[in-house]
Amino acid sequence: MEENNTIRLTLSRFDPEKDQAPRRETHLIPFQKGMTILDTLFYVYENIDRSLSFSYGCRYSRCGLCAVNVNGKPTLICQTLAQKEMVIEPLPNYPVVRDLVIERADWGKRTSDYQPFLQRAAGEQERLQAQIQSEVLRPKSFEIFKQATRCVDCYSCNAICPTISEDKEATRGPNLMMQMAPYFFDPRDRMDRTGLMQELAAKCLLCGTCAENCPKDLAIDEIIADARAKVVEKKGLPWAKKRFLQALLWSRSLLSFLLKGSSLFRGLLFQKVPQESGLHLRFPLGKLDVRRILPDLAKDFFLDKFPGEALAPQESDRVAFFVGCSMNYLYPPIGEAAIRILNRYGVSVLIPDGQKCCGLPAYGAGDLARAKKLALANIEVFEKTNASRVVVACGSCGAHLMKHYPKLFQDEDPALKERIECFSESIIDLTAYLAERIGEFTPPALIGGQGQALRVTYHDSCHLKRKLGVREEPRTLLQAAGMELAEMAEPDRCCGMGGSFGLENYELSAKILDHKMEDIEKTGAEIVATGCMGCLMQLKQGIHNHSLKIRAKHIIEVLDEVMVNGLGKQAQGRGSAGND
Amino acid sequence: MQFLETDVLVIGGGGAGAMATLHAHNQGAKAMMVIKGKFGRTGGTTCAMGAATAVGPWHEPEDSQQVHFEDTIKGGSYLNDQNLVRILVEESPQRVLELERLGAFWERTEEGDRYLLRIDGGHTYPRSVYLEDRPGREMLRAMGAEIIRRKIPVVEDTMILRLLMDDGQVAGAVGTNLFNTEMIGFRAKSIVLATGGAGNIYPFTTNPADVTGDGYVLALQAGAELVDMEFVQFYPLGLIFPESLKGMLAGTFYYSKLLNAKGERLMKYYDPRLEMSTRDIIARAIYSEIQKGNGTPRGGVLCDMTYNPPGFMKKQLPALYDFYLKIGIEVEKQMVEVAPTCHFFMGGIRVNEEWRSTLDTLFAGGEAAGGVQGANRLSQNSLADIMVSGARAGDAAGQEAPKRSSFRKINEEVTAEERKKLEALFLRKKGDNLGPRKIKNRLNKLMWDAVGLIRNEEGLKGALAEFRRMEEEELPNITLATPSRRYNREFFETMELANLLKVAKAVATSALNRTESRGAHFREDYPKWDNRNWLKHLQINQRDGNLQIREGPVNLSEMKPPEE
Repeated sequence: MEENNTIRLTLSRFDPEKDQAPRRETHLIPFQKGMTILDTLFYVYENIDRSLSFSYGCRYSRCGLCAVNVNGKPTLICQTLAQKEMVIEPLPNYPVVRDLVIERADWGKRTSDYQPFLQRAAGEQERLQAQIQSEVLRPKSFEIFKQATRCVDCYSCNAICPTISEDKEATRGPNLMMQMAPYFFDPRDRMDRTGLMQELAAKCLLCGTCAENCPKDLAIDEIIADARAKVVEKKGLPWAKKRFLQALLWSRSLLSFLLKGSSLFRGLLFQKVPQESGLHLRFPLGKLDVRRILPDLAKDFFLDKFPGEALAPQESDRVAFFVGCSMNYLYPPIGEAAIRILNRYGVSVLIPDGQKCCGLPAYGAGDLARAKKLALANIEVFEKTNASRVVVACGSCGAHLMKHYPKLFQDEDPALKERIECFSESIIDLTAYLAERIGEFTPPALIGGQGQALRVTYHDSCHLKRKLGVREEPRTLLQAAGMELAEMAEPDRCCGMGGSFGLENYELSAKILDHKMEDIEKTGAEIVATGCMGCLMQLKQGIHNHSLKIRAKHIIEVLDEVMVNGLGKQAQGRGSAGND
Repeated sequence: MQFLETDVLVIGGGGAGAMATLHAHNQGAKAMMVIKGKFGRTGGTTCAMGAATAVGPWHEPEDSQQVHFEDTIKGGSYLNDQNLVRILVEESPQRVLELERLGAFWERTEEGDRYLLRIDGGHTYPRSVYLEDRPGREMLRAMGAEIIRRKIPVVEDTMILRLLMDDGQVAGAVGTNLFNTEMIGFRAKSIVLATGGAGNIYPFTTNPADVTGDGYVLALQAGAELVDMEFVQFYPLGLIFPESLKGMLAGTFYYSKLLNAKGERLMKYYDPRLEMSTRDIIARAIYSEIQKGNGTPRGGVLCDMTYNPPGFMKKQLPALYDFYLKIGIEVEKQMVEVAPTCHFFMGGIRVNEEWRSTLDTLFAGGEAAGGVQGANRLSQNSLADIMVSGARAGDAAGQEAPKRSSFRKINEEVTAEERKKLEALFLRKKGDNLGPRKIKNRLNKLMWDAVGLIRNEEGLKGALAEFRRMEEEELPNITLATPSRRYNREFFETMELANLLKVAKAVATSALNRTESRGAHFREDYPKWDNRNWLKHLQINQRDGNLQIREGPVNLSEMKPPEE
């Protein structure tokens, strides 16, 4: 067999009755153009080893039985083309029957507790029975229902969900959510499912890994967000959360005043983490764990410090800048670094006053009303800048602005919808913007100073990669800046922060984080860079938890250090980004 | 052996099985469903992509149940049992509404008050309800939800090996769990067989892997009768490559030219209408070309969509276009190799208007039952059939329960025999070490060549002799590559192969005896339709392990075929 016409196929073999642990077996099999992955299993079964245990069924990608992990990714192998190198394992997070076959919850176990059936209003069945016509059901009210009923229950989402992977008891996962969604979102249903749905949706990071891997391209994470919104619609918000979200709508000056004024109060609750520049609670309070390290509030908030515009000497372009809460209150130096870089390359930056929180905390909590208010406030402020692009340096904010704003207003009048869409289309992540201009950055210009190759690894924030599609650009920039890029085994595996999830579920969040930190450590990198401030917070927690000699930095800080200060062994410790 | 007890045991978990389960329960009987696979995932219903005929109050202005009836009889070449078809057209709309009440959602207009209706070959008007490309799954979702709500037990992963009879009536059944080979028994007062067709006797089939005619075999063994087994429908265009997708629906004939390996437009030799001919003619044309040696090396012909303007195929058939792209084929630039694919069994267990078999306590519904669709089924009539027949079978089976206060006696010799057969497979050390799949592949090839779209006496006789040999010599020599009891693929493929062989025999035997051509059954030695001699059913019984054929009348209560 020529090299070109061979597939190197590695299979996981495991008989729980005989083997201590799964073992791997590699086979070289003939490749034919057009072969599916299932074909390769057929080949092994028919020609090499008839004892192989594997499962398949319809071959239409609709029974879910052929789902296995191929090179780490859950895949329906009946309609996926074979690759030249494949490692095939059973779907993770489920008991293995033998080899590639998992135990799929049998009828009774899966269904008895959750009531996945339609419960109509009292008397409606009788009324319908008496009529000969069909019900009047408007398709528009069944949109989420229709999406959810496309699910083929293959378990791919549960297999890859970072929460399920850690704590299989904690939540029944995205798969069960999809099985229940047709009933929760069926306008005819009268059962009170809010308790169950709230519980199912609770331990979700909204990381989007499920949606990214769904063989049917279902927006599972969006349906989970929709479920939260529906729960809030029925039950309202918990008191503390409601107050917090209300405050997001207050004016910048009021918030600044209150936050600054709270320093004494904060001192009573929090204390500094020794040798670090973060705080932790003195005692457990609500869901916040004492082990959670929070960055201290900045001395001067970004929006208080900066004027409305930072003009570049020789202006070649002009952008607006969306700051976001993390940058504003916790990491202003990152914002300063962003302005510096942009100005240096001839880009004037408009920083409109009056911009508010993007609204992701409200959206994530299911408070769509406040999410919409915040959206409208922001859009108005940015429309006034007349900038054709709005640059964001936080993946979570960017994803929300670009993807969720249109979703929030999809039922509004066309004129408003157009304004929203116009705004969302103008959003661009800062690294993507810079990468567009990479041709302008000739190596000497970018490195500027004693650039010395430093080993850096890049963590893909869930929102930045999955929603904004930004993956190559940060890497291009780091390499252009003279860094040695060392990739993690799973650079896009969720870090476990997930916004308020990390604050309310420290234990689970830390377990998810452990994988990431192990992965980072293996790269031997000195710096882990990321494009989201939530991830940044979490990575710093991880460095603390694992006592690693690594620094976590926002990618903009890294680029800034290279361009402005030069980066090398001498430059370590110096630099404009404060919190290390 | 553990024995589970119920009044009505439904074997099979597709649309007919689910409907039968609910309707038996409606009658106040205890119901239980046992499935070889997993509910909602396995079997044919979940793959169904079309629509379900139902002429209800929402019908097109000119349409009526009478027109539906007539279309169906004409489509079936007058071999349908008209009393059953009358029930089909009348009760389908009721079942559609029933499912809607359980929560099924059928596509409708924006205002929500009228169903959107689909049409396909043979129907005079659009008359079928659907949901996107998954009407079958939607039916199962709604019925499955109701089964859960009523807490009706469903036993999954269990293949029934034999029905247990007591003096011509059912006493129960015995099966094996495919995940651990444990045997399990059932006591029941009546049984509904809803096990689908048997497409896997052919090399190309639209059926999923587990559809292997189990119900036909169970019925024969129990002493019930099969009817119309020679009528097997082939859809003309099925993929032949890759292996895993063999038999999948490959496309439509509009927008396509069919070319043989020489590059000729093959239809010109068969029908001046070319690709606009009827499905059975196209299917036989393609088959002919292949068997004559004008096919591609892989054994197909070429479906050419490349002559269409760029962007056309993507616009007209987006789902098909995307499917092809997923498997690496750009239909605008490449031709696709196709061959006819086995899609549906018109024949099956012979039933009356209650979908009761020739045995009082044994019922059948869906594709497992025969006589409704005649010599050829119209598209979209199957989803209607499973709902109607399942309901009828379930109602009648449920009414049996109160007639007896106790279960009939379980034949322990039979259960012991089944256990012995199963264990023998695991104990066998010496054999030909080939595994069931190689034998199945040869069975498939033989069925294709001799019992395929074009049949003749010599071929059929030869095939029957070979089936006998395979059953007597090869099947008992299969050895398993592993003694593991955990999801042992060779184990259940062997069990299924035994059934496939029996079904193959039934199809070939019927085909041999019908010396005319009608609908899906074509004899090149008797190529004409013969209403004078052949407006009748061929019925099969099993006596002492041998198949016996007898003839039976067709119910022609309403429509008489045109004078020849």
